[in-house]
Amino acid sequence: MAEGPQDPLALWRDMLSGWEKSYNAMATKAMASEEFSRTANQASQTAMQMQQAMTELVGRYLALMNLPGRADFAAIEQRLKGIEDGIGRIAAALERNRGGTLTPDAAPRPPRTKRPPRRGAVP
Amino acid sequence: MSAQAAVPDPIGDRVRNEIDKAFRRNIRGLEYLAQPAPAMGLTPKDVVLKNGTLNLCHYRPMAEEVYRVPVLMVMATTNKASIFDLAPGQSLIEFLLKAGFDVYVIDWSPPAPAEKRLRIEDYVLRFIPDCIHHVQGETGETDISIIGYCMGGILSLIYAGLHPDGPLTNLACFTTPIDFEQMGLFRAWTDRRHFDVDSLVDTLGNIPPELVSGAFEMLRPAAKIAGMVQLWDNLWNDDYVKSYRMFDRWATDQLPLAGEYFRQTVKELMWENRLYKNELMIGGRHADLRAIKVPLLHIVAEHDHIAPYDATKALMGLVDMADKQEIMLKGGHVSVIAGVNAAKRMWPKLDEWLGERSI
Repeated sequence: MAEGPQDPLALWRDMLSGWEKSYNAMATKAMASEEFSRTANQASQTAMQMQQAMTELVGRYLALMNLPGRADFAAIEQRLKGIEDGIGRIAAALERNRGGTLTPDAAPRPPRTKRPPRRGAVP
Repeated sequence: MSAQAAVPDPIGDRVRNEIDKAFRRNIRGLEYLAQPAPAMGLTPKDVVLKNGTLNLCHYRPMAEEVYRVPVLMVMATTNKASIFDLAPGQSLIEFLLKAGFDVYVIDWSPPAPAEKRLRIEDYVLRFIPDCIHHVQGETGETDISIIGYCMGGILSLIYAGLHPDGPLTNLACFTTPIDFEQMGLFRAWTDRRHFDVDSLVDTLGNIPPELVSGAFEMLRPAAKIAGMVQLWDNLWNDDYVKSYRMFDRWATDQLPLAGEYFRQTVKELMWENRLYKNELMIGGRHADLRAIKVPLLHIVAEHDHIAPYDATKALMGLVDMADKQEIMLKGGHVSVIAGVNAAKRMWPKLDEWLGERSI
């Protein structure tokens, strides 16, 4: 729809776009300073240390309760992934032995004879 | 028809139009909340190689004949490769398949805790060569073209610099930063005086996706709010909503980064800028960009806030080959490769450049 300059919604959209640009520009300027870098990194370092301490605390608590922790689940996930990959390799090997392809339902491969179309030619 | 009906009534039309949009906004808004995220990556494919974080996918051909040289796309390690395959009609992969390319894609899974030790060496001396070997075995062709996106472009360039004698035949990079001194806020935030990458990696192992996505969002802090308002404004428009949801889903589906790989990226690329200085050593070997002799295409975005042009433009000056081309297109870091505008602007240029060199 053609909307004239008097369209209040168009003005509102322009204002939104202008606000976004100016806010981003202002934030970029602030975040590019060394002060921001130092403060943000200090804050993230502190948060990381707190998180680490909490992780260790919860891990000890779970071990005390004889419950599995995040590391245990990650190890199980890893083992399951290894088993799945192994099954995939065995299936692929069986398929190859049967003279098929890695993917039983794969269509026959087209010939590799394609030439680029002449640019500007009428199709 | 009466004369009264023919009198134009622009204000009345506009009011009616806005009321109609408001109704549709309300109805679609409810649908938006009720519907699951849109499915992506639907182009038929087979995972032909898996090794931990590495997945090599082969997309089933859609043309009656294909170019002789297969294409291997290397996704950035930060995100899923579904950005190449958003939806039917909005998929770069589907476009390439229909244009007659035999397409393989390296897609990354979240690295497992045990994979925190993966280094750039693992990606460029093990994963990419393994994939190439596999593609060669499946296709019977020695030659191969590589397309790398962002960090995938960096890995592709490093691979090319380490293997100047082939089998790489063509190299296309999308929005690939080279000069990390020009990386703006990323550079400021990882200032070595304040950013303790060793402590971060030693404590966390793999770098969580929230840290990576948080950094991307902070590059344009108002974008999220403005995006939500624009979404509300366009809720009546099905195409806009569908596109918004796909991009949003992809952007939030961030991957963790392998710890050692992140440490190496920060120290070697961000701090020492070794890629730009052409001094990068990988596995004791010089990843010499000047040794790359294959045709090179670099597609960069005019409004890229993640890999700004000042950081990407250095590539053309660093490589020596005669057949090199940089194309700057309208768009941002993501919209230059995916979406409606990419389909009109970038994809045909890639098809033309690669097709001529794939016979």
